[in-house]
Amino acid sequence: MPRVIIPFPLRKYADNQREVVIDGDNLKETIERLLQQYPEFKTLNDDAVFVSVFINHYLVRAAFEKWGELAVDRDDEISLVIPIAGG
Amino acid sequence: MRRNATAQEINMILLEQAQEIICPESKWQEVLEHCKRKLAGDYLPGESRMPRAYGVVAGIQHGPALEVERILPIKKNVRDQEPYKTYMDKIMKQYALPSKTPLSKRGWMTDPAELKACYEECDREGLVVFGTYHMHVVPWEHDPLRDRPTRLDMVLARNSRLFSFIVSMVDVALPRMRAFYEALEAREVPILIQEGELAQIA
Repeated sequence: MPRVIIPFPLRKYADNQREVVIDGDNLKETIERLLQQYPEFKTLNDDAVFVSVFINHYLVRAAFEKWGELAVDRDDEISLVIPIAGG
Repeated sequence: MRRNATAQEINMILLEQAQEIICPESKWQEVLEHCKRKLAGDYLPGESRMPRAYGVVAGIQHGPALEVERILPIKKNVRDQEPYKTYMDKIMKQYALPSKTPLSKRGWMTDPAELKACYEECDREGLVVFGTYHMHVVPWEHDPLRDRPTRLDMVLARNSRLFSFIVSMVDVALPRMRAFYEALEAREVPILIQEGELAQIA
């Protein structure tokens, strides 16, 4: 099962854990299960926030609709990064 | 290298409940040096060539006080790269107030890989990311000091669960910094500079 690294601002909603292990065979399934397990992570679904996803340090450039095609296995590390932006 | 934070320390972390932010003088100077360097057009190798300074603020929490221990300047700006450009253009058009600078030249976004590296560094050092800083340089008629978040700042910080540190560099000789939870004016927390005795800097 892949490990998901939780962004700092969301850790308080995951018992202050830095990472969690989520069952999933592909990226889409893993992220959907993460959101089911931690519904407070609603930020990730907020279209006002542009979340970057990395699999083992590689930035995922595919659109969300294609995430089901990105296989992940138990040794993979998925990192979520909420960007900093300003005007 | 810093020790890892204890579970007790981690459990104390409730950023939105912070009542003050303690910033050592040396850390304030690091922010200022970053801002002044960018304004002077003195860029580091690999750094985006734009007169905007922004970065990450990290530290530890002592009860209701957050103590700044690290300032991590961000080098790169991906605002003009897709898919970020489309997102930023849309946000800018919707929320940015008109100014002398065209919207296409305004706004910035951190490179996600660089930000990830910053977060990993903070994790290794047992620090908590409190927030982000960025500078304002152009005075506005209704906001001559520019030491408060803009409507755009507020939109971009929405749900961030972080403090936005706004650095006013309108007058480089009189810089100011204020901190607002999620860039909300009503949720300002005072910053105290620590240099022997505490003195408020904003």
